Amino acid sequence: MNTLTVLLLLLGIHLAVSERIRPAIRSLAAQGFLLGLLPLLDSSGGGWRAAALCVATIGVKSVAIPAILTRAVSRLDIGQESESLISTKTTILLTGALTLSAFLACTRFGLSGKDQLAAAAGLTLLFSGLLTMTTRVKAVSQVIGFVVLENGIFLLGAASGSEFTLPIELGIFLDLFVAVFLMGILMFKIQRAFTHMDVRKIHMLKD
Amino acid sequence: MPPAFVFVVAGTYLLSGIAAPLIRRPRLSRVVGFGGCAVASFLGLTLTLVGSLQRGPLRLPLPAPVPWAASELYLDGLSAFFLVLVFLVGFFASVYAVGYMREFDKHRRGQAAPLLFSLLLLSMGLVVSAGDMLSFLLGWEGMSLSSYFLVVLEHEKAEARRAGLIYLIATHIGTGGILVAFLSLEQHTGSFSFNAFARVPIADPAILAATFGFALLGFGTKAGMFPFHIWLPYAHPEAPSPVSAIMSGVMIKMGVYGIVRFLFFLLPAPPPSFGGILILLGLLSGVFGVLYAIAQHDVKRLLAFHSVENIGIILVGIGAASLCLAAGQLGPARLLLAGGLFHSLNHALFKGLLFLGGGAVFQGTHTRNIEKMGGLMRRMPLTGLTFLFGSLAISAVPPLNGFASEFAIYRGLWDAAGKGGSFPGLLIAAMAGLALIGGLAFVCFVKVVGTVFLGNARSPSAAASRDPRMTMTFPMGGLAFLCLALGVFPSVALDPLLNLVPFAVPSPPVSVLPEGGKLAAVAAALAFIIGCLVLLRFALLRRNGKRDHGTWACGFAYSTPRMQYTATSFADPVLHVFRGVLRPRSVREERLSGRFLLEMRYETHIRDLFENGLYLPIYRLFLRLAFLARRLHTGHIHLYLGYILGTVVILLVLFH
Repeated sequence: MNTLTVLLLLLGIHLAVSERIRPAIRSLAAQGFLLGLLPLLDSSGGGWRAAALCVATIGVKSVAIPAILTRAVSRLDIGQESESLISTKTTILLTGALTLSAFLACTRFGLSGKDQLAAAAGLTLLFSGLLTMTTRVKAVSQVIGFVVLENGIFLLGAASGSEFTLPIELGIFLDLFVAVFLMGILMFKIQRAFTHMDVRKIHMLKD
Repeated sequence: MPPAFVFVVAGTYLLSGIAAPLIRRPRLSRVVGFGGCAVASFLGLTLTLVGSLQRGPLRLPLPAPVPWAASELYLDGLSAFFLVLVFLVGFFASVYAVGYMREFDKHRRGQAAPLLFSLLLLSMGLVVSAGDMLSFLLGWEGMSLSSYFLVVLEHEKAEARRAGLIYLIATHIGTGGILVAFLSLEQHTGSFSFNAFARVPIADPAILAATFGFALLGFGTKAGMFPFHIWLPYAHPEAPSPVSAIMSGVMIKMGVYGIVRFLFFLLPAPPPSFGGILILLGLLSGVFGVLYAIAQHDVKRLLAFHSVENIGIILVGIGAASLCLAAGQLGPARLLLAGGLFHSLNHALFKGLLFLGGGAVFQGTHTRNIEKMGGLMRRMPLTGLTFLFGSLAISAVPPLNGFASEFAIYRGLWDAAGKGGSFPGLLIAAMAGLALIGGLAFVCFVKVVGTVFLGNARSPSAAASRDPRMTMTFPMGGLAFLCLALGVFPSVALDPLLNLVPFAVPSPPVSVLPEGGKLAAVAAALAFIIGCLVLLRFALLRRNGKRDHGTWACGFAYSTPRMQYTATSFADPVLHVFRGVLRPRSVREERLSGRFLLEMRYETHIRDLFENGLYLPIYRLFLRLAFLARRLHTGHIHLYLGYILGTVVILLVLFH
């Protein structure tokens, strides 16, 4: 369990600081796969339910979403670089600071042992996902940030002790899938309307 | 009145209100809606008058609006008095509305008016008979909202929408104040019921003062008390005239009811400073109200400012009563409180009458600007005569009712100051202030009656005006008769009011107004003499006939209506005297050819001191803050995401 959490955390940090899009998508798929293993390890009862959850998680997060994103990247022809508003150095420093503050915040949750580590990792993922969305220029990177954020919430939910309930989790997957799907369509639309993917310039739409 | 009758009256209001919008034919809808309101008001009036003769309050449990508190109607003498006010003016205004609202027949929304009107009357009935905080606030909000929708009934006019917005904001600030005051009482008693509130033991003087302050903010806003009055001159003129009559005559009295209920029934032994504050605010309302009224050219806006003035007179009476009570002077306290309440009744009658008359003038001339009227006394004799009665009453001229109630207040102030109570200087200042207010009100109504009803018509539409139909003249006549009747026989209303005053009375309960009998006799003699003179005039005219001649026009070849003295010129000397506080801005343009004046234009405008000096700066401050906040709102998505990230981190790290 702890190994899994640490791996998730490292993947999250890699996602936050990576400069290129395709490796980030691969990391995202790996993160989704690890998250899918989580209910199996945690199963305290209802084996078929944990198995279903595992399959759904891996299916959505590790296969479907990365596939949509990869297809978007190749179709849109936007290059390899996920441009950032701030330099990589600053991003690394900020990610470090956010990780630190996530661990600080988690000391007050009243959790212990592996749960505390998982909660801190979840919170870190949440923060770093938001950071990715805030600082990256290309819309694809923002979708990636959004999925990382969602992964963080998933991990945080797992750590908080409440057991996974299948209908709720499936509902969340559906939401996430639809969200990413819509974002994919929107990215095509933005590309066609503006002939670029630079989210910085969307503010011209403001009234 | 027996409990079943309460439901009969309320049911009649509701049924007629709901039926009106369902009827397709506008005429029938109007007759059913407003006619039903008139029937319900008449029924309510009769039952209240009969019922109030029996002793002891009526209690009537209501179905609880919320699970955690019981609700009830509680009708004591004070409630009954204000119910009379609601039903009496409500009856006349409903009858009048049957005729007046004909001009709304072409709009579909004209059929919503009866529903809103009946809800307004019904919710005011609930306000004065509520026995607990929740039903009170229910009635209060119902009253505010239904009157708001009536103010914006003609919502295609930008002024109506603006007036409605100002009214809506003001009334909700007021409701907030009332809520805080009630919750403060609830904190000390643990109950929402007024009976539990009664003489609530608030020991801390700071909390007592804060409670009173919030109550004064809430009720004072509704009453149109200075400096919370600014909504009133906007909202009252924009509503249809019968609604203006209800709002000015009755609705602002709900604020008076609240202040009396708070000060004499709910708060424990209020310190004399509360009464002193009320007297000061009352004097300010009175003097500024009448001064601003003098400067107005719009007849309904002028009447609205006079409501501010009369609320001032009422507050002086109530405040002085509280002051005397704190000093242990029970006799003057009784007289002053009864005088203040009596003036509330009288103001409801004559202000209702004046607004109904103003509406008749508006429908006759299609303008509210008094500078475009003139000579209406000959074309609208019934309107003119009843308006004259109302004007004399509001100027406190004997033998009309305004004089009777102001006399009671003067007499009470005199007694209190003479017997050396607390703050005799303030009481004497109050007397002087009342005298100033009365004199200025007289000036103002000389201006109105002179400009509107005397002289020659200043516009073609004024020349074409006629008296309205029976449904509109009957209510004006009825109210004018009541103004005269209560002026000649003031004890009819004053004696019951003296006895409903809650605090202990020195035995034996003698009539506290010693001149009550004499006053009635003098008033009757005056009325008799005036009547004789009128008859004499008729007799002489009949014998000698009437001959028409042009008046001497200062040597000019012919006279035009424009040569008449205007209302602006009439008001100018007064405004000049008070220019230090009013700060009138005048525009004067002259076109000369050599030494000869070809054309000249002169205008004066007066803007409300508090509106410009207090409320506009506050408004501008909020606007500036809003613009500062707008800078956060750049349109850059990254920045918005950054805000979210920052908020999440700060909330989780700092405030968990």
